Amino acid sequence: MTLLEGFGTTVLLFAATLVVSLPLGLIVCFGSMSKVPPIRWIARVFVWIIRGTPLMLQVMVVFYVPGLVFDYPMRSRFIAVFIAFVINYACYFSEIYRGGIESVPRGQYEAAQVLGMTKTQVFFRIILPQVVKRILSPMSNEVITLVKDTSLARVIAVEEIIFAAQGIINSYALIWPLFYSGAFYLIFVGVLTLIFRAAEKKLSYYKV
Amino acid sequence: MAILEVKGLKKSFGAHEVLKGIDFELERGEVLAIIGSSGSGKTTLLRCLNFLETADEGSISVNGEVLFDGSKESKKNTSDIRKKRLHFGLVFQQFNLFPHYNAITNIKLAAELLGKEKSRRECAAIDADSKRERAETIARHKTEMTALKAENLQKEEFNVKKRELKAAHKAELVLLADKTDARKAAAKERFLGDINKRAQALLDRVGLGDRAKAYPCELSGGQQQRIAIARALALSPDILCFDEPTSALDPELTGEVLKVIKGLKSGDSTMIVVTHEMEFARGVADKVIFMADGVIEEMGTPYQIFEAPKSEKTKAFLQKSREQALGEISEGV
Repeated sequence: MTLLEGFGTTVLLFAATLVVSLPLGLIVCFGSMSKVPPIRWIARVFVWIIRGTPLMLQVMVVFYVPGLVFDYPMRSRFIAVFIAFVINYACYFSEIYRGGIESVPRGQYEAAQVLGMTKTQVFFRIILPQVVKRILSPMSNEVITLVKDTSLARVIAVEEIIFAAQGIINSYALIWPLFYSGAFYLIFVGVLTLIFRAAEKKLSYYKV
Repeated sequence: MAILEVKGLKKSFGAHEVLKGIDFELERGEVLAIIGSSGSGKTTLLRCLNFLETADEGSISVNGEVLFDGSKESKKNTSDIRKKRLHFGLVFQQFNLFPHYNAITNIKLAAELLGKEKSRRECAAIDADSKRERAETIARHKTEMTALKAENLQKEEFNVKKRELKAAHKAELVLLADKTDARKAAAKERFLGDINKRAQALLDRVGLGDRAKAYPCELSGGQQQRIAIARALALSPDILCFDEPTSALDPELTGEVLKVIKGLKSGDSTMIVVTHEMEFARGVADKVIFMADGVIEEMGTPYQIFEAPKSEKTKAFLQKSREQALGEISEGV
C-alpha cells in the first residue's frame, strides 16, 4: 500500500514538474536569446549554473537554504523538490528550445516578414510549429530522464516509490518491492515512449 | 508617373560597400530584369526594396509615396515597416514555403491574418459606434418617458401609453443590435469572404489548381516555386520581386517557372527579376539593368543591352555567359 502511495508521489512530481517547466523553459529560452546583452548574460549564466551542478545538490539547497540561511524553513518537502525540479528542467528545456528555434532557417523568418506578418504571428504561426517537430526527439529523452530523476526526491525524505520500497524491505525483509518499483519505471517510460512515437507519427505529414 | 523610383541607394556591410548608389525608375506594368555576376549587389538591392535590409542612403518611392529616405532619421517602427513591405512581394531563390502548411494555406495565410486584423479593427469601430448610438437612444427614451409623465394623464391611460412606449423603445434597441450585427457580418465578409476563392484562383493561375492540399515536401522544386509565386501574389503587391527564382532548380524544371512569370507579364504585373537566364531576360523584360560592383553599369532595352552593349564590362559578362551556355550544350552532347 505504501508502495502505491510512493507511486502516486512519483507521478505527481513528474506531472507537476512537466506542466510548469515546459512553459517556464520557453521564457528562460527567450532570455538566453534576448537582444539585450544583460538579460542574455544573466539567463546564460543561470543555465550554466543549473546545468553545471547535480540535481541532488539543487534539491538540498532549495530545501535547506531558506531555513538555515533566511530562517524561513520550507513548509513542505514535496514543494522543495518540486521547485528544484522545475528550475532544473526549465533550464534543460530552454536549451532544447533554443536549439530548435535556431535550427529554423533564416528564410522562414524572411518569407513571413515580407508577407507582412507581425513578430508574434511569425513566431506562433511559422516558427513554433516547426520547432515542435524538430525538438520532439531530444524532448522525449529529457522527459524520460525526468521520470527516473524523480527518485532523487528521497534525498530530503520525500516518499517517492523507491523510498517506499526501501521502507518495506527494511521492515519486512522482502526483496520484491524493489522489482515492483523497477517494473513501475519500465511501464511508465514505455507508455511515454508510445506517446512520443504517436506524436512523431502525427507530425510526419511534413518535412522540415 | 513611375510606380517605383529608386534614388542614390547605398548599402554597406561593415567596410564592404555593396551598393554604391543605385538610381532607376520603373513604370507600372513594366518588367525589369537585373543581370550581373554574383556579388554585384543584385540580391542586396532586392532585399533593400523589401526592407529585409535597411539601406544606408538614398530613397525609395512607390507611387510617389516615399517609403524610405536615408537622409531622414527613420523611426524604426515595426508596424510602419510592415505596411511598407506590403507594396512589394518577394519570391526567394530557395522558395521558403512554410513546410507545415499545405499549398493553399501557404498562399492564403498572410492574407487571412491581415484580413482578420482589419476586420477586428473594423468591428471594434462598429462596436464603439453602436455603443454610442445605444446610449443616445436610451437617453432619448428617458426624456420621452419624462415627457409622458409630465402630461399628467389619468392613471389607466397613462399605464397604456407607458406600456406602448416601452414596447416601442425595446423594439428600437433590438433593431439597433440587429443593425450592428449585420454591419459586423458585412465587415467580416468584406475582409475575409473571398480569400479562399482568391487563393484557389491563384493556384489555378500557376497551373497547380489540383494540388491545393499538397504539402511542400510532396511537390517538386518547380511546383514549390510556383506556389511561392502564388503566395507572393496573394497580397496583391504593387511590385513583385524575384530573386534568382530558377537558380535552385534543376534545368528541366526552370521552364515551368519561367512560363508562369511570363504569364504574369500579360497580367499587367510590375516585376523586378534578378536572373541568370539571359534568354529569359531578353524575351520578357522591358528594361534590363546590368550591375557590376555595386553600380548600374548599363541600363536599357533588352536590345540595347544584349545586341549593342556599350560598356566593356557588359560585353565581357555577356560573352562569358554565352560561353557558359555553349559549354553546357556541348556537355549535353
